[in-house]
Amino acid sequence: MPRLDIFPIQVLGGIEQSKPIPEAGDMETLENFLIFRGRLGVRAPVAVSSTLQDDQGTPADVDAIYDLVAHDNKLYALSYSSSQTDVYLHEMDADGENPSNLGVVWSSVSSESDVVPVMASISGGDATSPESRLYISDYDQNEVTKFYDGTTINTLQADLDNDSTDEDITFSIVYPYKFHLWGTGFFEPGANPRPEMLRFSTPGLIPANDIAGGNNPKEWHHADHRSVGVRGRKITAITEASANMVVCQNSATHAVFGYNADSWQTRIVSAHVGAVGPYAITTDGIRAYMWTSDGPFMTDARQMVDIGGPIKEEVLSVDGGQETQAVFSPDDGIVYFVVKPSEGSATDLYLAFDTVRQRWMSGSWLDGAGTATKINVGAAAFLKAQNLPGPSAAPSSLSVSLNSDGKPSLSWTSGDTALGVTTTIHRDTSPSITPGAGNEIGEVFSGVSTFDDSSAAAKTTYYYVVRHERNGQNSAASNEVSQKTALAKPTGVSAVSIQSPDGVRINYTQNSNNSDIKIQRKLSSSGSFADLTTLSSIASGAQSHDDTTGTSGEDYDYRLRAEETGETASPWSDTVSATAGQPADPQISSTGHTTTENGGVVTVTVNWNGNGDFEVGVDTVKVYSILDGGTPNLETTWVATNTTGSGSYDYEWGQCPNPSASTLQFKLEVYKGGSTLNDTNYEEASGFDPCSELGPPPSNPEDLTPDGDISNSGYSTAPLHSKLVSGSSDGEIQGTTVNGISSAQDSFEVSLSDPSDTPVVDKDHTIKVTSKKGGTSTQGFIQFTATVKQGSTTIASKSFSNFSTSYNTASLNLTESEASNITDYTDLRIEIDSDTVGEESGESVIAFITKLALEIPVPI
Amino acid sequence: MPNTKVFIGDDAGPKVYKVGSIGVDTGSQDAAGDIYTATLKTERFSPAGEGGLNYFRRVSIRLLKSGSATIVGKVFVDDTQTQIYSGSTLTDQSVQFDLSSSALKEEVIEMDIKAVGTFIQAQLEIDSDDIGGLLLVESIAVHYIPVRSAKTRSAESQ
Repeated sequence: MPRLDIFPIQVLGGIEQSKPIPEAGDMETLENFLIFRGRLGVRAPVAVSSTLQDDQGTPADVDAIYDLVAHDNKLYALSYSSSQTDVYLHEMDADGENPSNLGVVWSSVSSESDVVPVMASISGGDATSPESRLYISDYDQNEVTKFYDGTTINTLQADLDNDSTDEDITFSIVYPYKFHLWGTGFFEPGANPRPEMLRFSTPGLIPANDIAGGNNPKEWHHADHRSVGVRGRKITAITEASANMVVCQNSATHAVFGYNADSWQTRIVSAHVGAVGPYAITTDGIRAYMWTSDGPFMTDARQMVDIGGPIKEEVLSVDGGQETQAVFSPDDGIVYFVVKPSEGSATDLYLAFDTVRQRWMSGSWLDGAGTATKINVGAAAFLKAQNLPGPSAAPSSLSVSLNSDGKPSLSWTSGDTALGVTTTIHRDTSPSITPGAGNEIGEVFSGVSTFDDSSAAAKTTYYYVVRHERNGQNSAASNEVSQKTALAKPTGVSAVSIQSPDGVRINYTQNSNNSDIKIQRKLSSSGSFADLTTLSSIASGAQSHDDTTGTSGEDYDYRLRAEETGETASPWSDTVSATAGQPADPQISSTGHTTTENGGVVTVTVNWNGNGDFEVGVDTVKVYSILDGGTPNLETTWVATNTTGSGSYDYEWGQCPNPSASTLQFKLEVYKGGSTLNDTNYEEASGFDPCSELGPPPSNPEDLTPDGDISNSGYSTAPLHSKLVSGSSDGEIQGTTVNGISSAQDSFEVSLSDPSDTPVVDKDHTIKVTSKKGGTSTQGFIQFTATVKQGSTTIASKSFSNFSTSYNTASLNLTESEASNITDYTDLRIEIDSDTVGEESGESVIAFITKLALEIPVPI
Repeated sequence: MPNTKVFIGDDAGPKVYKVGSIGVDTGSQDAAGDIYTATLKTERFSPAGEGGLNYFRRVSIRLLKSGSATIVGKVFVDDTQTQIYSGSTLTDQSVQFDLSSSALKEEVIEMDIKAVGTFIQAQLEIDSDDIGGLLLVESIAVHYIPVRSAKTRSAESQ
């Protein structure tokens, strides 16, 4: 299988995780595919247009075709008959058909390979008497050059050696360029051959009047010559590119340019490669394409470009004869190179070069009469047609029927199935159609003989004819047929569940006014459709029908069609399905919210529970926020992720306090099926302040310690406050010593230091008194009362007893209510009242205090 | 309509052949009713690089068509044709697409595959007589999940 390397399919875009193949643009195999308008199309087929025969009384097929050329709007071929040992010239019409044998060009040619004929076409004359010549020369110069003037095949004679005597001319190639006729070859071959050179004649193209008045062709009135390249090296091929004549030798390519004998100049294009033979070159007018000893090249007559890197390995070998062909197809922009494939010895492989995108493709043409074999190509040519034939016969046996869509389906027998024949379809609502562009509704390609009229309207009678078109010419019309179309089928069909009673509502659009609507039904799980009902005379437009005859909870399929007496029923509508009976509506049964704080940002999460009748992915809950009782604002639409319908939404309240709002409220709405508002519409009873729902803000405890004495009755030694700040390290104070069974009441009052910050909450206010019992009594004790004051106003008063002889701290908590009474933390005081009680005779009791403080929380 | 014809002559016989126009004269056969098969096989495509690993899941082909057509698609991963279970037997995966006749339109056909490998190739085969009307291949794309990229290394100094 041929392997070709370069061919990109341009792919733009793509989707995620997808890439075009090939990304860099390579094809490993591309056989029988060719580029067509930027895409890849399967190559077109080949068809036999003519079979060439010799000129005997009972003509027999020739054995080989040497060359093909377009000339005078006809196709000409040179063939060889081994039985007759003749080379023939054949003429065909512009479609390659209707061949005629014009006669023998060269006779007694013992072997096909003895000659390599090359043809060249020129035309001239004037408008009233156009003339043309078809020159036929032998590339090997074994035969004399001939020309066909439209009537006879003549030998070319001219006095090129200027001895006043015409001699037979033996060119190897003849080529017209710039109003001159150019011939190449080793002249006077035989004993004293002269080096290869270019001869050129004037006027070259056939003049309207005979200049010389002699027997020679008028275009050879005057001749001269030029040398090209290395003298003695054979000229292998001639073509034209960019207004230059491209002249190839075996290993060189030259450009010839100018306009007459005084201005001809030559320029070397390549000193290394040239076309291998006379058929191995072609041109698109701008560039010449050739197969050289180093593969295919392209030139604009200035530079040679190697275009064959990837495909050289496809080719076994080339020679200077006729085996390597090159032909340009202008419509497709493709140059076909016909070469020997590397796995074979016949020239049955073509390598197609797309001159626009410069890509290679390969393939072979087949003809095997039942056993496909590749055509061994001996010649190739393209013909720019001017007066091509039209269709050979009209299509016939046109018939029509309705297809499954209720639209007319046409079928016919083609009268001409040749390549390039198309068939146009014509329609009218009246009989006796005259086919034309105005009633053409479609066109099908060669070989296609059916057409579905998808644009036909319903319940309408149409008349049809078809005809062939070929080369812009039309055949006669086929027989005419008519067909009335079916009723229009119902469209927009849908089925939905309904309740009370349970059933299915079928919605549809009636498109056939006042026709009946037949409804069929079946269980979705099994069975086949059966008639359910027929609705009579239904008007056009949106309609519905409730089917309450099914079993609740069952799934049913429905289809509809229009029917009318005397008309063809419409095709069935699309099948739709629904469950009889409607499931309960989704509802929210309860809701609530939680408030959390993270990094100073307060989030309120609203939660809801569903009733278990949610359809996943369909039913939705819309969550609205309402700030300060204002307008609800849609925050999100929650799509059910579970059938229970439970969900939540996090609403970001922001920092506390929120400067934009003081209260928040949520509103929730349940939607069934995404569009139908359900009854459930839950709204929280009242707004709330998320900040108030938060716990206390973070704080650190801070001790307010004595900083001044205000009063003292019984304690020593003043100043008291300086000894009560940090514990025993700064000293202690003591009350009155009680001896025996007795008691003493002492008291003092100290002011407290100012806090570093004002507490933001009224919690965690604690009086801390570090005290002990002194003296010798074991049963005596001290009853303390600590009173927090703001100025002279009592805030809170707490009592405790102390029996311990070592220091311990009593922590006395103020209630939030008590703490909330503090309005000025810079004017706080603590008063300590102690009642020292002696319980034993002869023993002593003394109250000691070493630290006193009011602990409060201050913000971090 | 094209009005330029390409002709070829038989090097070993009397016949002159006319070459049809691409895209217009499709749906036909060569001379003597010979059916020819058009084959398109992409080069190796390694989305994760040489040595990388991919999970190939789908090959999609975009076509422009006007008539019916039968296309056979095959996918090769690391030179091995992808396989699919036929009953309990693994067989080579060869997907046949039967495209129905329609108006001129673009159509995408897809081959679901399940293969892990480094490179992938897609192949299309179309018999000439299985095409009715126009059929043009516009693009081929592979859908894959990269598993592991090819290893790379920095340049080495001497």
